[in-house]
Order: sequence, then C-alpha cells, then structure tokens
Amino acid sequence: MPLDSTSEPAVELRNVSKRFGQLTVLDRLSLTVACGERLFIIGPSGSGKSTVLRIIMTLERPDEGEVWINGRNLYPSQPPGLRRRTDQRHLRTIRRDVGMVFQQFNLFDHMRVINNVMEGPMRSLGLPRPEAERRARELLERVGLADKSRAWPAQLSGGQKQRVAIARALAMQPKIMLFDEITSALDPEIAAEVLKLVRELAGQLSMTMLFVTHQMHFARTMADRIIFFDGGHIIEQGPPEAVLDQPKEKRTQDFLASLTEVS
Amino acid sequence: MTWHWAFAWHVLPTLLQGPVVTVEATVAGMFLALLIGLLWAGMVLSGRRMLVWPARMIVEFIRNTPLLIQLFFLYYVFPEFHLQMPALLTGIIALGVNYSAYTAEVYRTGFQSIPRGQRDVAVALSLPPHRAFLDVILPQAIIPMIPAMGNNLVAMFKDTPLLSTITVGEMMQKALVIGDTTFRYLEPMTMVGVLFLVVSLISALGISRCERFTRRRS
Repeated sequence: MPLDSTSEPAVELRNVSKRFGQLTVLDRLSLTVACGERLFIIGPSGSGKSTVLRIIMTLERPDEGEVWINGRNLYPSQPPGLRRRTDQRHLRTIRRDVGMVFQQFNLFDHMRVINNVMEGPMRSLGLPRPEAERRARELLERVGLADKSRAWPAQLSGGQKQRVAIARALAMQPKIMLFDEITSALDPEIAAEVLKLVRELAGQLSMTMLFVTHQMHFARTMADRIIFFDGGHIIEQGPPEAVLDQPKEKRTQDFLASLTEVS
Repeated sequence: MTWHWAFAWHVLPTLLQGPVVTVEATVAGMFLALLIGLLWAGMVLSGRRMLVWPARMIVEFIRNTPLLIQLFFLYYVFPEFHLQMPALLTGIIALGVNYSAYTAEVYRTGFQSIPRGQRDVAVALSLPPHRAFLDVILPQAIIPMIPAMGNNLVAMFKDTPLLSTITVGEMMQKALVIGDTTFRYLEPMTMVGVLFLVVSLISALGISRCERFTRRRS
C-alpha cells in the first residue's frame, strides 16, 4: 500500500538509549516509521532488535530519549523536582493502538483458544461478550482455526499456537503491529505456513507493521524498508533490494554472508 | 494401665465437642493467613523499598519466634495494654498471623513462577492491572500453590492443640479436662490423637484430589 508520508509518523524514536546494567543495548537511536509502512529490522542476535519493539510496546522504558506513537509522547517530561514516574494510564491508552506477536506465542494456557482471543477486546476495550465472541470467531476463521475455538492451547501445535496469538493481537484492532521473531520457535515448514498467513493478512490490512526476523526471503518480499541493526546502532537502511543485494557497509555484507552459509 | 472401652465411650461425646472448635480455629486461621500472607507477598513483590523491607522484617520476626510465645503474648500481654479478646479469637489471630509468614512465601514463589511472557502479553493487550492480575496471573499462580497451601493447612490444624494453653475448648483441652478430673489420660489422649490423624489424612487426600483436578484442566 502507498506510504502516507504527509501525515504523522506511526512511530518515532528520538535519541533513545537503553542500558541493561553495564550493557548498552540501544545507543541514541532515532527511527521514524511512517503510517502504513512495513519495516523490517534485521541483524545479529543480541543487537537490540527486539528491544526496539519492546520499547514501542512499552514493555521496556528507555533510559533516555523520547518515544512517540501516533503523535503522542509515551513519557512526557514531568515538572522538574518531581520524581520521574510512569503514568500507567497514559501508557495504556496509547498502547491500545499497538499489538505484538511474540516468539514464544505466550498464549494464556488456562483459557480456551476463543477466550484467549476475547480477553483483550472484553477486558481492555470493554466490548460486550457477544461482540467480542463474534470478532474472535471471525479472526479464528481467518487464521484457519475456526474448528479449534474450544480447544486448550496445550492441545495445539506450535504453528497453531502462533496463529491464535496472531488472532489475539489482531482482535485489538491495533494500528501498529509488532512481530518479534514470530517463527524462530517453529520448524521450517510450519514457519513458512505462518509467514504465508501473515502475508495474506497484511494484504488485507492497512496497519503499520514492524518485523524483527531472520527470514530474509520474507523480508525481501514484504518490506518497504529494511534496517540492518548491530550493536545498538542502525548500520544501514533502505529498500530490500538495496540492503540485501547491494549492501554498502562491511558489517551488513558480513552478516548477510553468514546467513547464506547457514542456509 | 489397661484400656477401658466403657470409659472411652463415656468421654467420647465430650471429646467430640472439641473438633468443632478445632475446625473453626483452623478454617478461620487459614483464611486469615491467606489474607495477611497475600499482603506480605504483595509488599515484597512490589519492589518498593519502603514496602519490601518492613514486610521482610515482619515475616522473619514471625518465623523466628515460637507460636506458643506469640500466643501467650497476645493472650497475656496484650490485655495489659487494654487489648483484651476472647480466647478463641486470640487463638485464631495468632494462628493466622503466624502462618501468614509461610503463606507469604508460597504466594511469592507462586507468582514468580509465572513466565515473564504472560505479563508481557497482558501489557500488549493493554489489560488494566487488576484484570491482568485476576485473569492472567492469579489463575496460573494458584495451581502450583495448592500443594504448599494444603500442607500449611494441615500443619496449622496440627498446631491447634496449642490453643488449649489459652483455655480454648478444642479437642486437646477437652481431653486435658477429662484427664484432670478422672485421672485417666490414656483413653482421652489416644482418642484425640486418632481424631487428629483421621482428619489430617482426610484433608491430605482432599488436597491431592484438588491438585489432580486442577492439573487435568491445564
């Protein structure tokens, strides 16, 4: 879909730094994601890719810098003298626009599949039960699991679990979706099926999508822009052909070469 | 000394008034322990120094002083500060507070056993904090807690005879009264022991049933 560069960016990070103890995971990172853009972040493990998504999802709070989502600052500065405190209610309203699918699926194992999908709309958006159920059924149908709505997560395969997780995230009707290595815990054939599903869904939806992935073919065919990330910095970025086929930076070339060796 | 069945039957009705009080004290005491223990666990898990340290100190204090002394303190020392309570209520409070130190530990490990990803999803779905706790954290934390909480319940049940020392008319106290007036301790004491054994075994069975039931669902 065409990118809307005139309107507000969906996500904007300004000089964001994040440290875990001694380790600097993100170092003054600035990043703008346009509305409707499909942005892929690639790079070696431990390079801070997932931390970018976790900061956008408000699962981590940056040590420095600003995070803007749909034109709203996640952590507006407080009057001086006041201790920096996170305004949870403010965060909650903003992050309703953001959904996330995790590597480990993270289904609620104590709820049936359909209740997993209904939980967010009912408890977070306040949808009445029949409507939440209708929405959940429709989404389960779209991810090909209409017949599993009454099953427990423990009865599903990994690929099915991830489909439920995708349906659960979509049920919130987010404007921005984050996919954090969603196929890394799956067998290759199953992974391919899940990616096919995501591709289909992406074709029907106009939301902004951010992917962290090691699936280069998927990135090549889906991305509007690819960012190569290493050591908490953006090393190189551009359209897929540029970054994947004619990388300018040595580190990008080395990383891509290491991937082809593996596969 | 030989066992007299006739005497045993004679005192049985008196003894059987005891279990009612014993069960009352255990149920009320456990209810209190579950409530207060949740408070300590919540304070420790909050991660705020102002809450963590007081909770830790209180729990250590409770665990490292004998229940009997806590009981006597509440019953004999508090009235000197004009805080007088009926014996049974005192006993229930002592049991509840004492065992809260142990239930707190069970809560803490139970809540910490929830994988981080579950909290992450609760955030990603924008669930309000109380909903995240009630719908996501609590139901998954309860299952691993059941055996340990059950053990605490049985342990507390077996601690109730201590209440006889502050004149609560539970089983042990009834047996003592019978012994003191008839000079026969064999039958009443044996029967109290057996009654405890029976109730303990039944509750242990109930707990494992309960555990198996919850396990099957997940």
